Amino acid sequence: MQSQSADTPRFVHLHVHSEFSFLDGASTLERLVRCAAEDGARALALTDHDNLCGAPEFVHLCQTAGLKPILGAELTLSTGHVTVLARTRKGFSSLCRLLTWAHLENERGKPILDEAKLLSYGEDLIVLSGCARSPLAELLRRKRFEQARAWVLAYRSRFGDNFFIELQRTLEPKSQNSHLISLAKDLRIPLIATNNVHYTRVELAEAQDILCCIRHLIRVDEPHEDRKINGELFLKSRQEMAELFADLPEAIENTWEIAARCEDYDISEPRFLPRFAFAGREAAGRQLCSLSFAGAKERYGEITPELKARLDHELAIIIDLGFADYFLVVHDLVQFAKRNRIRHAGRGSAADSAVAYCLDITKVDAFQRNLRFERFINPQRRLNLPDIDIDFDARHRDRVTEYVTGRYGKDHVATVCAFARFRARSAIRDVAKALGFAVTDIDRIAKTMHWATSAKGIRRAIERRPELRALKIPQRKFELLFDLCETINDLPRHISTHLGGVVITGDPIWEISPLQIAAKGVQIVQYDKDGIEDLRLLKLDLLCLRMLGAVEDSVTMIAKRDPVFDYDRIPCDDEPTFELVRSGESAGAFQLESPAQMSLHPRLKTSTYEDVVASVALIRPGPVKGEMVEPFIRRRRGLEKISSIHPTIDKILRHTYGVVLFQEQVVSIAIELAGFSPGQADTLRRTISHHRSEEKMKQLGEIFVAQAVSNGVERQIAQTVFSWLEGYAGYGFCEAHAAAFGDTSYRTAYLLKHYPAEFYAAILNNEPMGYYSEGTIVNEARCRGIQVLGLHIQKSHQDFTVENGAIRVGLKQVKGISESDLTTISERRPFASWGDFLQRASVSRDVIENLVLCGAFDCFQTNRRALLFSLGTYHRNVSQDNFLISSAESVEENIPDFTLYERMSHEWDILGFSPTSHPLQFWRKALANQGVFPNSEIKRIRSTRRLLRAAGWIIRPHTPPTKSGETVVFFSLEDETGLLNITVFPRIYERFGHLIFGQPLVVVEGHKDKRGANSLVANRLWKCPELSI
Amino acid sequence: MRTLPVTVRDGRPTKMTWNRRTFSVDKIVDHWRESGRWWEGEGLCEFFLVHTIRGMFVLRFDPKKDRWYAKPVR
Repeated sequence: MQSQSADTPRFVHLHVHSEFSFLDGASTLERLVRCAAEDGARALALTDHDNLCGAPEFVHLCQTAGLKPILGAELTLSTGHVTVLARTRKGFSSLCRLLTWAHLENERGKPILDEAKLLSYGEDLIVLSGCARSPLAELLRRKRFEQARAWVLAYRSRFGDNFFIELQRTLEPKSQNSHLISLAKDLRIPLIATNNVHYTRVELAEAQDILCCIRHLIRVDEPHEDRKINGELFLKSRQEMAELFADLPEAIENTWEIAARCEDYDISEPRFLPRFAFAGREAAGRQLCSLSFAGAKERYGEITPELKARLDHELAIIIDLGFADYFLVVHDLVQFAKRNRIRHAGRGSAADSAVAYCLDITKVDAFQRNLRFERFINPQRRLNLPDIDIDFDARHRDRVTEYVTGRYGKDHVATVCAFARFRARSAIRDVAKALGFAVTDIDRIAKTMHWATSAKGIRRAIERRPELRALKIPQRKFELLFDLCETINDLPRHISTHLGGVVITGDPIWEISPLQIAAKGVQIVQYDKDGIEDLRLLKLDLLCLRMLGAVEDSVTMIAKRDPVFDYDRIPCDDEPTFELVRSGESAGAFQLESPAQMSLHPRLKTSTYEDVVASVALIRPGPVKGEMVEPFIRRRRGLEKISSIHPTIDKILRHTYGVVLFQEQVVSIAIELAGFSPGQADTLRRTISHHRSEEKMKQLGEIFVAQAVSNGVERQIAQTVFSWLEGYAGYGFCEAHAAAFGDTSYRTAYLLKHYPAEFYAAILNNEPMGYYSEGTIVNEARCRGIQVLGLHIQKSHQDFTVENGAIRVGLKQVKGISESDLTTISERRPFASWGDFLQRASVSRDVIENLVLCGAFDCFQTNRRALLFSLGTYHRNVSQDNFLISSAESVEENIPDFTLYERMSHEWDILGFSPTSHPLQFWRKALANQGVFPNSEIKRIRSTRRLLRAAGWIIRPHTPPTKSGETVVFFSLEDETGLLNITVFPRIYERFGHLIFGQPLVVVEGHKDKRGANSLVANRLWKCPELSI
Repeated sequence: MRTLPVTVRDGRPTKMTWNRRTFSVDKIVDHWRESGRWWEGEGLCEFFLVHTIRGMFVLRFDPKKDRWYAKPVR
């Protein structure tokens, strides 16, 4: 390290806890590094509790700030804490291994390292004796001076002059510092000053204390030995530390010495890629070429010169960048999926690759769509591995993960971690509990927050949302709550599992990252996806998509009546499918079922496959906020002229009607208009998308315009085009991803149109799908004229099935029914009678009651109340050993049955829906008397001037971001005739918002949407009045 | 804890008055700071465990109130 001037204290903080000392460190890595840099520090250590989670980001931040990063950890031994620093790259691997042992050999969440392992395997580490909770401090507190001496000598013997006695002057009582100093002087062990940093500024001490209370599940007024008694643990300046240790200048100077001793090593060396089974890059490259062209033959039949040129281009880049092994790994696991009939589909920018299409990794024909490969792999970003995401049938995803682990070995495969961070809802729950708020109060506030709201937005959210103002929150008591929530906003709360990220390494994984077990029981690395990317590790995203399960089940059911049906060969120009999508009645179809989507398509007049693809990109926060949706619709429908600016631009933007909708279009424009290289063009796209400083944008604009002009483009045209890129590119969507999703959207819409019974049955079998409840799906099926047949003890299978074009409810749907009940019923039927069932099917009474109430035995006796009475009699007789078959058979006929409404209520309660009825139908007459129309009638009305009333359940209210920042709410209203989309604009939301998020059943009064969407624009809402049947 | 007058030099107590007798602080045995019940608005206090001719005392200084308090240690 460079030396400093004589009067600048040469001090380095070597004991520092960041946000990744979960629920203990109260400052982010970014703030810690910035604070150290502002103080003029030359180096900084990171020593979180038993993990290296922050290591990749810490290294990056330090390098940017001009600081030397020193990586370490505070290890928990059975006797206390010690601080260790990794002196070399080998030391870092050694630390990873030690931490792995600590985690894997103990109960999850309670890592403890066997001290013998530290002493035996701690290669290239610098060890500091630790804080007040160290083994040494504990021995001194107990006055076991000889043992303390022996402990110090053991560590000195093992680590030599890389062992230091750590001193902290943090003004806590019963400090052992005088003994530590004596010991150090006696045994000639160097001293070192640290401050056990837990936050950057003293003002954050309260937040740190709250985190500690949350960690130990205690209130602030309850004591705990882990709670710090004062706010001294901040990142003191070098000057402050020097003054604090003015009597021991060597303790300060030694920190500098340690920092200088630590090497400048790189933890992100690109040596971690697994070799696929071939030695050397050339062999892998040859194999990849061979597989790609074989796949191309299968996909296209004939390989044209243009296709060959495209594949050659992509393969050259892939091989040159050393990514052939990566593609082979992915191809191998896709083949496993195919062999085992596990439905899969690649998504994201991988669909920009024709090679990926030929290898069957993706279903999008990048060649035919002329998608830019460089959006997926930028040759100028050589150090970043590609990122391929693949959706699998949710039921089988874990089998794919197991295959990968088996293929490459447990020591080379682990799941990527994720950090669950404090957001509004979690912060409120945790902080309020620690502050001693009543449980009911906590619940009230937390539930009114959207799950994704930042904790910094709590105050604003309460001010702006009527449903929150109605809580009448007392001001004073909540100020502290809000302040603390804002302070801890976005800090990681705990480590968890990434949804589908899996890392595969060439070297043993515990040399690169510590491993631990997550709550789900899987082995995880301590780096999240950003850390993985920083370290250039091979990561696959093996994701679950329930819709693929629904597709697979649909195909199986369809095959029974249409054996030649092939899902993968569905024609892309089916007009009845487009008609369905245009009607806005596409509930159930992938990505086309939200109110926003169902409002879009009637206005868009969707009539092509490309319209569906575009819609996936349009209904996103970006384009909605960027107000791109309306221009797109107007131009698509020919209501607005598409002005021609330049033939090159016209060609690139033709399929999006002159709107820059896709990120690939930005890349194409930069290449074809301004002569950028493909790599430069993608860099431009990334810069525009992510780094929007005015200065940077101005520079980019100048480069773009200059290059376009030198390419023969008029200056004014170049400037106009760049302004489009500036305006739209931040909101643009990846076309490959839109195409990948759009493909599934179109195909599922096709299934919905042509095989609705099978498709809806399949959706019901794969619930929860995430958007609509089973009740809504059943209602939608009924509204399409599909009969839904109730439970039948003889005919119902476990799952929903299709029976002569009708959907039969499955037995699994019954509340409380177990696997063994299902097996029993399946094995022992057919049943001759009700009595026969009672005798032979050993199913619990609760389950039998539920089956009765759902009509499973209507085939024997339609009077369900009578059956229940008979069941009671049967069980009394059995318990008295007085069973007679005749008593079971004789069902009391004089008992009046349940009313229709009661039957429906029971079914809703037990199944989650009624196969034959909807609650609103019982109130229809009363509602009609109040001027309320059924949704189906409202959808038929064309007039936009007529004031209309609809009533129903509110489904999925959501508030997409708008450019103005005002709140617009979209939701579906469900009645017995189907769904009606409702739009609530800001002024109306202000007055009635508390009903949308507080009442399930409302009446909406408004007008049909003038824009042509088949929806109602609300003027007012009110709670549905109490209605009698 | 009782309030009492304390003589201070360089932020450290040197003399205290207890039961109307003033005597020197022989030795500061320990010194620490506590944040107190910050959630109720309490501020940081300074603590000294001192040895005097009259025995050991814990002295507490509350900067908000600018006051010293003492409690004998048995």
